Amino acid sequence: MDVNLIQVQQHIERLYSTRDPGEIQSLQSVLLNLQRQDDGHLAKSLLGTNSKNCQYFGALTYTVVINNIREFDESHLQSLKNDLISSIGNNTYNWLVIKKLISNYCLLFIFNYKQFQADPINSLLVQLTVEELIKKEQINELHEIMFSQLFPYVYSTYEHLNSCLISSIPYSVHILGLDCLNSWIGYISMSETQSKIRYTDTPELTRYVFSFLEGLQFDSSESLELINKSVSAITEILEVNPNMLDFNKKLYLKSLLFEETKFGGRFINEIVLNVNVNEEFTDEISNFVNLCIIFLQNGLLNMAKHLTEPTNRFILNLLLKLTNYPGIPKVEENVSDQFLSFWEEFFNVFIDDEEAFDSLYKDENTKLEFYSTRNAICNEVCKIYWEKIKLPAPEQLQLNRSDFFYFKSTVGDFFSIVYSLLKLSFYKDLVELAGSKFSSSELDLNGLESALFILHKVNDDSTFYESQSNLLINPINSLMEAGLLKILPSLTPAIPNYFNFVSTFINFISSIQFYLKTDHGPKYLGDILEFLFSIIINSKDPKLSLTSSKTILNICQECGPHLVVFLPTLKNLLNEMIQNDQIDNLIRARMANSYISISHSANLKSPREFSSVLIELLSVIETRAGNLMANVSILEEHAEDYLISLLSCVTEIGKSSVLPGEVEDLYTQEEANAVSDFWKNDTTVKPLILSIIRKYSIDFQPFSNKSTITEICCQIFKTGLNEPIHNPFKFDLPVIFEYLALKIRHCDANSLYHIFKLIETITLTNYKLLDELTVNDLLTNVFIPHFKDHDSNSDPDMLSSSTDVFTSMLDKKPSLLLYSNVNLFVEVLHYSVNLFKSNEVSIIKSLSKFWTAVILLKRGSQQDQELVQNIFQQSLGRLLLQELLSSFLNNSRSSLECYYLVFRSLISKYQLFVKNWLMEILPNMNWKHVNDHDKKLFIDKLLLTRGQRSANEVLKKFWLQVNGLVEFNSKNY
Amino acid sequence: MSAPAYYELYRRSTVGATLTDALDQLISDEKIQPQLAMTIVTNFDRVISELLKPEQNIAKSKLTFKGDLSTYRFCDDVWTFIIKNVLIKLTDTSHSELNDEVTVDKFKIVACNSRKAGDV
Repeated sequence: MDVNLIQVQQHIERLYSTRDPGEIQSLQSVLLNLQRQDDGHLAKSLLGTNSKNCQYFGALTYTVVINNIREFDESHLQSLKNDLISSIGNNTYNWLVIKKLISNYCLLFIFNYKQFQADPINSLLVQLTVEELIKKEQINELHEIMFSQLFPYVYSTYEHLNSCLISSIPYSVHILGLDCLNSWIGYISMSETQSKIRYTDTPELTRYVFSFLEGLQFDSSESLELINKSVSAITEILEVNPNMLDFNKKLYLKSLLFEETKFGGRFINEIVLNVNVNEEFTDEISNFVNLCIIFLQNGLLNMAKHLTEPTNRFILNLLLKLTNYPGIPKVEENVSDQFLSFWEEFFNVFIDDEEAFDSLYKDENTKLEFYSTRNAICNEVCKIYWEKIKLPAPEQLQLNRSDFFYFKSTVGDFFSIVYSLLKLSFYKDLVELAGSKFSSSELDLNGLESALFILHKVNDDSTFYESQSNLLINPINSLMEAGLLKILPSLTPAIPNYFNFVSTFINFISSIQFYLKTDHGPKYLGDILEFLFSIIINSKDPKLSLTSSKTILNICQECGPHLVVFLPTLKNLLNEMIQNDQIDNLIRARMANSYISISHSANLKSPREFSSVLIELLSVIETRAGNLMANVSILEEHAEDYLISLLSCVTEIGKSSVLPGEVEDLYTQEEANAVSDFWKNDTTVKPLILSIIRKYSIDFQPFSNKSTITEICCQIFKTGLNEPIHNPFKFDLPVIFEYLALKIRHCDANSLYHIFKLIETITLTNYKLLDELTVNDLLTNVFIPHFKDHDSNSDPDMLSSSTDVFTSMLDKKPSLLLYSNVNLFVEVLHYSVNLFKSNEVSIIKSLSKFWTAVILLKRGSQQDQELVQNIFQQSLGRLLLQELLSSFLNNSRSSLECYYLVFRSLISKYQLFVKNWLMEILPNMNWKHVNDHDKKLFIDKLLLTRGQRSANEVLKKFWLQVNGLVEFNSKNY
Repeated sequence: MSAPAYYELYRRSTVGATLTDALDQLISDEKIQPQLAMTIVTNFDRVISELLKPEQNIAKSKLTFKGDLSTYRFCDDVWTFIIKNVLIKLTDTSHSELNDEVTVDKFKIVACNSRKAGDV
């Protein structure tokens, strides 16, 4: 190869100095080209220059050469080996160049090991070889050579190291030895997985690593560094290849770690718990703790079984001591956090094997001792973590606020685990603990906050999965009776961490709704609501107001019947909020929902009274909105948000007007009929709602083209669609369609998405009430005009939602679409074929569902099937397949899964036709990497699958071939 | 230093799928070789697995759910659960006020043992 070395040198220097991305790209391209053409000469020449950059680039060039050629002929290999070895010995290179050269030498060995003799490779080389090996898929033979030729050398090196005193060998050699050992641990694990080689007898390796724990004092940074590396190496062994330690070694390690006079005991006393030095050695402490945890995790069941044995008691006490590491978690220390997962796993053993433990002890006394020890440890751990999650002073909390709260939340989860183990007795202890923090003469807010936080977490968890709320009512009652609410006046903004205290208190209240709705609850609801309202009104923190409003909403929804006495207060508050544009929009909407929830539950059987409440509230909203609309010429952002919020209140009123349970549970048949008839014949509330909707979405010009308004109006219609009997928000379908037909003439393109979604919901929930005539009107008035205005380049959400409407019809009642008007149906089909020109995933997903529904017609009659088959066989099938295939092959890898089902449905339903269609289509499609034979092979393979799951693979492979790409995945999940 | 193999699970995530799409584009434009793309994807497996480990303290969202367990299997060290009628609670543990609940008809969980990843 004829290369101008000076010019190459200039390119390299420029490459490492310029910051112009364009220039870097062009230089890289030129240099990469040269590297690919090289056989080692350019690399050697570059190494011979004086520039560090060129020398490093020379070493890199060797890597490219070796990776390119891989298997060398004998003479070429020999010359490369010689060049590399002599370069490695050149003491003018920096360590980066040397390391790269050694790495190249290892690479050369990996690709050409058959031609290598057992070279006297030093330990560093061996380490690098295994590191390179780990990165590559290897064959058995190479593992055998590593085992038979290299490993004995490594092993004897460690034998030699073990035969000398630690102090007689330089520190740097030990560091290298431990690094090398670490690499071998990883390699041994991989080699044993990939081959039949077993490294069964490796005592010298473990002896070497243990020797540092046995023989070193903690008196210098060098010995601590060696200890730290040994601890990491043992952790690595336990994590990736615990079989390297036999039973006796593990016993020995246990004594090393947990006996008072040996390494572990000394390390804990002299380093971990020594306040004078522990801040300096956080990494070392963290590694040590990690090792202890991993060691114990490997034998958790055994330890749990023999909990009462003195050795285990001693270890557990040691762990408790470490868990209680002094300092604020995540701010000053991490040890307690490290132990959290260990304790979680430890207590889970008792939960998972509860029955086994129960049958383990025949003797009652032993059993009693076992359970009492377990409970004592549990309580001890909980006590430590309860203390740990107490809020520190604000200035300390500020140092790592987010991590502290993450820790606190994880501790909350841990207490839920303990609750599922110790059940009610534990819960009662927690309640007692909380009670003790406010019932004594001095209020301990910090302790109370921690306890309430834990109770809130346990309540949330235990009532989410299965209701255990009945069990918890009495303990909560005792807490409330002890006067928990008396602390409320103490929660003033002046106290430190005010936000966190109030937030925890509100969350706790929110979590005891199961209690508040019982007969015990009502006497406390007044104080609670008063407190929550005061937070909404007075709090300067918007987050607190929002949390508070959410809790009020939950209480009102759950405890409606008990809250009737608060209706006048709530009404006044809501009226004030409707008039006041400074109130947060979400809070206003939640209050509307809360008020109507209570009114509805109070008037379930008196629709007339409920109707009066609704009229009054809706009128206030309509008047307020109407006045604003009339007086606003230019709508400012704030006024716009406020107006939208008033409309959202109507949605919330709709949501809270739905039945709070099953009809049968709430009414007798007569009552249900009476309520339903009342709302069916309603002439006051529904017209009022329609008037508000019309005012907002059609009459008021600034809003008529706003998709947000369309969205909320559609939501209002949706609220009643699912109701089993008539209610104030359940409108007759013609009323909704009449509105939609009008709206579609007064809306922007973005609104169409919401309109189509509403039609889809109607189809899914009320398809029995729909007929062909209605769908014909819909197609003519809504969809056909939309088809004319929008093609595959239009808004993807809108296109996919329109397709979803048709899919819902085909899924629920195909005749609706098939017989509304055959010509219109064919028009829908052709429009949907054309949408395949879009590359948007959301459209392709919708199209996939639509075409699968058309092809399979799961709910179709014989007549429906014949109609569709007829259309497909005429011309549509071929057209669909052509567009489908073209879209599939042109789309990205991540979209491929969307297509498979349509292909498979087509093949299974129209197998012979698909073959003919493909034979017509494929010859006209040409790609660089695919010839006629490949196309034929693809057709044959695809048809052989008969539409089964294996078709996915055939399609994927053809996609890869057409696009000249490779499969990245080795596994399908 | 060991270099264990990592699961390919996260390639199906949005970030993984987007990465492979981008690599496909680079290969098609002849900007990179497929071998390099493979290395990048393998690196992605490693990096995302490491970053999502709890001790990294990066992923702070928590998901709890309840539903009807419809199917479960354990093949080749991979657990698969299909759950129906699911209520999912999403919590951002660093912001306790950010909670959300979602209801879905069907929910598929694919889970592998993270500690054994190096042994694969």
